[in-house]
Amino acid sequence: MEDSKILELYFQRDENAIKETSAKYGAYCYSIADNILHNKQDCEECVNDTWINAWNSIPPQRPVKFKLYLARITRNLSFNLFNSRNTKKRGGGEMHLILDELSECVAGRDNVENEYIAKELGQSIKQFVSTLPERDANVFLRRYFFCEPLSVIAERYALTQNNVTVILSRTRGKLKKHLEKEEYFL
Amino acid sequence: MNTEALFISFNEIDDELLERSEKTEHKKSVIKIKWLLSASCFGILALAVILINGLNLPDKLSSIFPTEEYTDYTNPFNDNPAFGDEPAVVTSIDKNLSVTQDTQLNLPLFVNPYPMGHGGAEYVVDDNIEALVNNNLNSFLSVLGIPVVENTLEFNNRSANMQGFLTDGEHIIASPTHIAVVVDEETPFNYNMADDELIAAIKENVYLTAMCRYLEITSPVINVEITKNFDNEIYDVSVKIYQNDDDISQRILNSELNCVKLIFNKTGYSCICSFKDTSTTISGQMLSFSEAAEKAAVDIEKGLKACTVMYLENIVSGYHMPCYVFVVKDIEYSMDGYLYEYPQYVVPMYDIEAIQNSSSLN
Repeated sequence: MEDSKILELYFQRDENAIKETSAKYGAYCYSIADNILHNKQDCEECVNDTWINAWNSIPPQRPVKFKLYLARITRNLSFNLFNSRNTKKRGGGEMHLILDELSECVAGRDNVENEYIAKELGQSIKQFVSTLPERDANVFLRRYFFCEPLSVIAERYALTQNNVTVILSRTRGKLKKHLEKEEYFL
Repeated sequence: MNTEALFISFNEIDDELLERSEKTEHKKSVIKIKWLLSASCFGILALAVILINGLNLPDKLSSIFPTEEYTDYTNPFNDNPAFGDEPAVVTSIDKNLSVTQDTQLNLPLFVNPYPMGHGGAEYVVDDNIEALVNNNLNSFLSVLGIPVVENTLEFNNRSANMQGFLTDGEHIIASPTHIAVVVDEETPFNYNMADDELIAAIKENVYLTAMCRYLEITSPVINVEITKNFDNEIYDVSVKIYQNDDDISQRILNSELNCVKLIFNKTGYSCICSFKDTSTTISGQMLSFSEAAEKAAVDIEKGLKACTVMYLENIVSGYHMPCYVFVVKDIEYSMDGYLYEYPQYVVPMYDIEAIQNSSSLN
């Protein structure tokens, strides 16, 4: 079913909306959750919560890119679960590495309100990514938005894994400079 | 600001950018490999080709990438090394093997009877293969003059490798196409050696000299390649030895299909003797230099830094495919004008589909 028709179901408060969303985007959202959580039960919980979140937020919202709207919800829910269940301690897999990599770009002040900072920082990140060459931006987003393993990114873009590592490393270097310039390093 | 805030902030990325990243790129017949040959940022490459003919030592190391091009550049990762000991990917162009549009080449396409995949050998590893590997090993050992430690030999059916120990720290591996000796002890080679010291150490090494004798390399070319990590420290040194020849095509064949490699770092070294089965050739129309450059959209006059030829096994499974490798200075990905990549465009010389179609018509 086309996204526009699925969205109409949401607006009509027809519960088939969830069924259709699950049928079309279940595997997609599961893969995003799995990249972060690496736990079947947690992933299923996150994906189910994604449908509930979508049900509660549409309407009033009418997402232009429904798939990415769901991706964002799944990503947020998975990350929250990753933190709340202390998944790190039982081996959060790829997320460990991803957070370690991102830690290169930031400095200090752990106790600042994350949500507030993230919103403001998001504008800066958005601007940064839009200045990157297409290939580098794609690789960067697959890693830090979709949390994909290096091997998957390499396969997606017909690159070597080492090549992906180097692109990410260079882009993190650029991001660090960008954040310094924007005075996010205080 | 902390890492979690940074992670969450990615939610603000535009849908268009996220959607763009969803597309998949498939490998094409022209393959652009970003090997990142930027010695400025990755501190990579001191490439040297040494021709030793008998006892004639070279005057000086030469490099296809002029050293002065990189020396003034800052390593942007010095302050915050990207990933510790991980080396940057590196490959090099051996000046002795570089080709231009005027070079006359005659390089056949070979069937590869021993293709390897991620899951191991993609050919049937039967008793004949085991006998072949055993024969390779014994032939090499007879040249080497050192026996395998008793009862250590094992044949691995998946990889078609036979492994054993020459001594406690010297591991030997044989396959249908390779003999390797891995030494996990203090290496007689070090990073600070001058050219003549390195050559002397190579000549004194029993494994390397045995491998050269085994491959009947009497007039060797030595190609030295140094890989550095992000901290600008040497990660490893790779030395390739092959038989010299006046004919460029034969030099390429020697270097790709019949060569000895030495790789060393601080923790040890390995010698690899590589001999590809070249018994079956396939005939077809070979792509010229100019046609290949056009296919890769390489501007011969402006952007081309160097070109060489490599035989690659992973381009078309089941073949040793000769490929032009165009190295181009990539301004597009430069960072602040001082950080360059040297992507390589790999263009296969033969069109397998055309060959297969023509043979099926016959």
